[in-house]
Amino acid sequence: MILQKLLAKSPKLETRLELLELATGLMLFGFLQFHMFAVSSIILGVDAFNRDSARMDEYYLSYIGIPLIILALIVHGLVALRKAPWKIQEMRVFVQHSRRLAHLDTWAWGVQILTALIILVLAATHIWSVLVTWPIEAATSAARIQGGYFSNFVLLIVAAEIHAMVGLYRILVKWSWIHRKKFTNYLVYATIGMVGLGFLTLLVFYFRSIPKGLS
Amino acid sequence: MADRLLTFSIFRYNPITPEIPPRMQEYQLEETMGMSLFIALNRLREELDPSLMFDFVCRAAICGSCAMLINGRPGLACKTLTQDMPDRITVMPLPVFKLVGDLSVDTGVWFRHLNVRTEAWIHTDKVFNPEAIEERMDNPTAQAIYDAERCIECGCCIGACATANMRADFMGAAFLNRIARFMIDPRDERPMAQYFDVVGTDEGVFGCIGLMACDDLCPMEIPLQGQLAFVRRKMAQMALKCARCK
Amino acid sequence: MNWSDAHISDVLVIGAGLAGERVAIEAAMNGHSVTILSLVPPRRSHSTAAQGGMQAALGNVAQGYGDNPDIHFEDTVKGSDWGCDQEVARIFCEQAPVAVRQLSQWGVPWSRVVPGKRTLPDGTDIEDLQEKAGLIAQRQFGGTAKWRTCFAADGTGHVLQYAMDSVVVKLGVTVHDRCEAISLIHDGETCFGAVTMDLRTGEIRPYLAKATVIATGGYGRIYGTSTNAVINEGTGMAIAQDTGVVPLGNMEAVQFHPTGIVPANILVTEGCRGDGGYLLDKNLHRFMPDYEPVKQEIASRDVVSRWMLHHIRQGFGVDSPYGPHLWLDIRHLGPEHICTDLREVHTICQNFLGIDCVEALIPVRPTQHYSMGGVRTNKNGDVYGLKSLFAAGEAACWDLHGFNRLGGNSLAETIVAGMVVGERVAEFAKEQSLVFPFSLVQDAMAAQAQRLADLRSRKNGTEDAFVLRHRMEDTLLNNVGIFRTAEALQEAVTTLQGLYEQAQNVRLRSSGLGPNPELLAALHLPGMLRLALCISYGALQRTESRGSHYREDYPRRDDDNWLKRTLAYWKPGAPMPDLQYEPVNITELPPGSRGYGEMPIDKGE
Ligand SMILES: Cc1cc2nc3c(=O)[nH]c(=O)nc-3n(C[C@H](O)[C@H](O)[C@H](O)COP(=O)(O)OP(=O)(O)OC[C@H]3O[C@@H](n4cnc5c(N)ncnc54)[C@H](O)[C@@H]3O)c2cc1C
Ligand code: HEM
Ligand code: HEM
Ligand code: SF4
Ligand code: F3S
Ligand code: FES
Repeated sequence: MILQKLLAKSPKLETRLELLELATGLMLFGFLQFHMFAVSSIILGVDAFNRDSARMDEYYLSYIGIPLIILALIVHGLVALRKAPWKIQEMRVFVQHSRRLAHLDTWAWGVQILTALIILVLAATHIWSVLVTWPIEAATSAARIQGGYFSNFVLLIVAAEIHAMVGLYRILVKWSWIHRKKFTNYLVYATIGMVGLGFLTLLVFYFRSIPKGLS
Repeated sequence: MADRLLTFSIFRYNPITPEIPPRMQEYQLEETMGMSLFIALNRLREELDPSLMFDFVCRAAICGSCAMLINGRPGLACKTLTQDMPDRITVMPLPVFKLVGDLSVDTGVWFRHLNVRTEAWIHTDKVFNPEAIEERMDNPTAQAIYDAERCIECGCCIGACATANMRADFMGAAFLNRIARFMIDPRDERPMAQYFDVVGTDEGVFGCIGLMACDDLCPMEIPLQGQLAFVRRKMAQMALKCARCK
Repeated sequence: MNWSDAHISDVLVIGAGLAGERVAIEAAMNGHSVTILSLVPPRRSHSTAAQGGMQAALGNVAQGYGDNPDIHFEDTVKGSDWGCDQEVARIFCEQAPVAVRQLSQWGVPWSRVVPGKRTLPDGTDIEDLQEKAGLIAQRQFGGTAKWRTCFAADGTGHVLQYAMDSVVVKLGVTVHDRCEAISLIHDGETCFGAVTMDLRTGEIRPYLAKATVIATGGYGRIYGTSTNAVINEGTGMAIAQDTGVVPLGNMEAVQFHPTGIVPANILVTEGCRGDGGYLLDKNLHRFMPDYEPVKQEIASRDVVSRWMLHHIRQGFGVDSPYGPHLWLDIRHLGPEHICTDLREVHTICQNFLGIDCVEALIPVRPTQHYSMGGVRTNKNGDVYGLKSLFAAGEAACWDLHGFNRLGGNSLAETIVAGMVVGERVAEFAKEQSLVFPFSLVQDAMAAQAQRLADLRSRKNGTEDAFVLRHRMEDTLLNNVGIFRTAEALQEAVTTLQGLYEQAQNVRLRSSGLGPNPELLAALHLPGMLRLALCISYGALQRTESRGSHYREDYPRRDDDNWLKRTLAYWKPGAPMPDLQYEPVNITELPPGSRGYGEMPIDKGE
């Protein structure tokens, strides 16, 4: 084993994977917050939403952005999940350990793995459903949300925001010298804010009847 | 102080008698003033069960022998006062390390092995000249080295780290801190590339996923978060530099 | 026993503290195969507990300018109350600076000189010069004419041990930790190694070597309340004496440190006083200047301890459930100083007293701390009585300390003795060839196996090891402390003799299987009692006061009759030690006044 390990070890590769995790993590974090704000424009009105969507289309932002995000998601998933407890034994060790330790940051990682899996499923269906009814319009979105996607989105909002905020926290503690105890509070407020915004958006979509084709 | 009757639930297993399976055994003891787990465990041994195994050396939180899981969390038993604890105290051996018996674990071999693996000594070509006066160093540098050097190899950061619990070859915060100590030491002439080989890997600094239990539970309060991040940044710089040079 | 059971090396070092590791390094650098044994991983040895520092005449700081080995020598001899071997003291003082500098190269982060002016707590202005910037800094310790104690913030012993062990790791020296030497293998003339017990499995095994070194540290734990680690049970000294031919030197010389905290008996460093801390009584009066106008709090340890206890006896102690104590006041040194150079003290106060010593007084009283006595060696480290056996460090009576050790001289001794003895051992092992008499090894093994089997079979006796042990501790504490009298010592000897007899009849309550703690306690007890008897009996016989040995009935030093060293032998099967004496080697400095601690404390004053 020692020989194989010695031959297979590559610090450079392993470091680059870590950097890739960092880069895609930050990128997705940025995207998600942007995305949440963009979608929340529905609160300001149907016009605002459609204008945004159209403008993104106009400047080809969607056509570059969307594939890029999908790619980032795939890469991020692959890179980040290399650390996940794949083996049943590892998983049990992790859970037992966290129970004994009762330590927030340790639990948070478990939550991250769990939310990652939720996002994986929900975001994939979500993106698929958006892409098949291209272009993005308030009416199609509302129809979707009113037609059964509501609960999925509730879950996705919560999972994605928690995953992203914990992820950001993790990046900061792993790479920088921030005072993490103080910083935790800001992140909690930010998460609550973003989830609140998401719910508001969702409710607007749900209760507003939006006739098709209006601009 | 009110006279409390403390209940200790203690992990028992002696590899010499494998036919008796691991179990939790309960003992009761009157609390006395200023009682620490050092005092309590010794009394348990002398009065109730002379076969109880545990390790203490300095009993002053200096030597790092007595780390164990106290109500689930790694800590130094000698500086844990019962007055800060509930009536029921669960004590288990530190995970990750090899069990010697009951609460006693073999940290020595583990740490020596990693000291060898990370070559944790000063690498220099200079030959000592007994006639010469010492080389100078500025005091802040000496202080910074000392701050990292304060680690007592108690193993709390290893026992607390879920990664170290899941993956046997992860070197853990203690050694990432040790590496940081040698990186900032001007006497160590190792090029960064040499450190890179040892710690720029998933067994080294990239095995750490930032759980921070180490930082929260280090009894010496070594700023492990900062130390780990320092090593991580250095390693990333290395990888980026090499990308350009090739 | 088979030869294949034996672990064979050129040099066997028993003890992985600073002294043992330094010897091992020297021998390994000379190309020998070296094995180190230790009860605990080397980095947990008690050397790591030393906070204060290590003396070496570098003369780097303002209050140390002009220092040199001659002044260090004079301080050491005076400190020892002329009990030390002056040839040894000379070697030591010359080599200490080399040791400090070598350690610097091995990675010790010594605190360094920061040039500039500052004012000391007593109002003196000093200036550290630019030309000394970045050299190793030094602080004041008791009983020294110059500031000479090199330190690394608050954890000198820790960093020394870690640097030393890093060299051991680098050289690939074999270390068997959790392995205890339980007897020496010898034929009355030569030592061939030791029988050991594996503290992981409880099995015994012979370790054979051309040269064996005892570096097992002190015996503080026979006093129960001691600043020492719980592993400091003096087993190394006991097994050496158990050979019947090796004497222990000056066992009655026991040091009490002035500032053990009450009630945990954990040491707060002499640096507290060296850096300007005061001792206060129950009226918050600073009493040391009354007794020692010149040296005040920083007279040598025996003197300060004595005055403290004297002051308590006068009724000025602070009452507590744990008996009377005094206060150590370091508040005026300021939070910045306390939280850097004395951080360990701050932490100890927080952890074990629950107080913040930046604002609160620290309860202290003199506590057993160090053994000047030990396995008697000559100046090269050869043990008296057995060829191929060497000793170094606190376990040895190399005799650098005589009847009182100066603070900071012990860490320095472990390392300098390590160098000197290591060199001698390396040379010795080169000339020696590897031959072992099989039957001797077999007999030694069989004897130990029998001892363990007897205890494990729980056949004999009714005595409880822990109970006997506590009685021994109490006896020493009450009767063989700082102030000694013939009656109290006689009583101690009688009690200890009784306990020694009872110790032969210990019966275990548990099975004793494996590395059973009760078994170990029972195993150590007779040896510890022998040491206790050597101390008490030696003290009873020495009818004078010298250094830490203070007889209220003989309060003066008596150079005419007692300028000599006690050698305590223990003949096989004897109930008592056999005391002999040898003259003290005086080469340079004839006996005179120490300049402090002169005034004898008269009884009942
Ligand atoms: C709290 C405290 C503070 C101190 N502060 C200072 C200071 O500031 N300056 C100073 O100069 N001195 C100080 N001293 C004294 C100094 O630290 C010690 O005297 C010195 O470190 C002893 O070193 P050593 O190598 O001889 O023994 P130790 O460091 O005690 O090592 C003994 C070794 O022997 C091993 N051992 C013991 N018995 C056996 C056996 N039977 N078989 C196998 N192995 C065995 C142990 O495992 C250990 O590794 C202090 C002492 C104490 C207690
Ligand atoms: C909106 C989408 C997502 C965002 C914003 C996001 C963000 C992040 C961030 C910032 C991190 C921290 C990275 C680091 O520690 O270096 C992270 C970690 C992680 N992510 Fe995501 N992520 C997203 C989607 C996903 C998906 C779809 C998966 C899985 C398929 C996933 C799996 C993981 C895992 C397993 C980790 C933990 C890695 C580790 O701790 O080393 N993430 N994520
Ligand atoms: C990259 C391609 C993506 C596109 C084009 C896209 C587009 C949209 C659109 C149009 C909506 C409005 C509702 C709907 O039409 O269903 C929406 C909502 C939402 N999206 Fe996406 N999305 C993308 C990726 C993601 C990802 C990766 C995530 C999370 C991990 C995500 C999370 C959400 C959430 C939570 C909502 C609900 C928002 C709210 O109620 O505030 N989306 N998205
Ligand atoms: S880093 Fe802290 S927790 Fe880890 S071994 Fe060192 S002292 Fe113990
Ligand atoms: S707990 Fe473990 S994962 Fe990293 S931050 Fe500490 S080493
Ligand atoms: S016994 Fe040394 S740290 Fe607890």
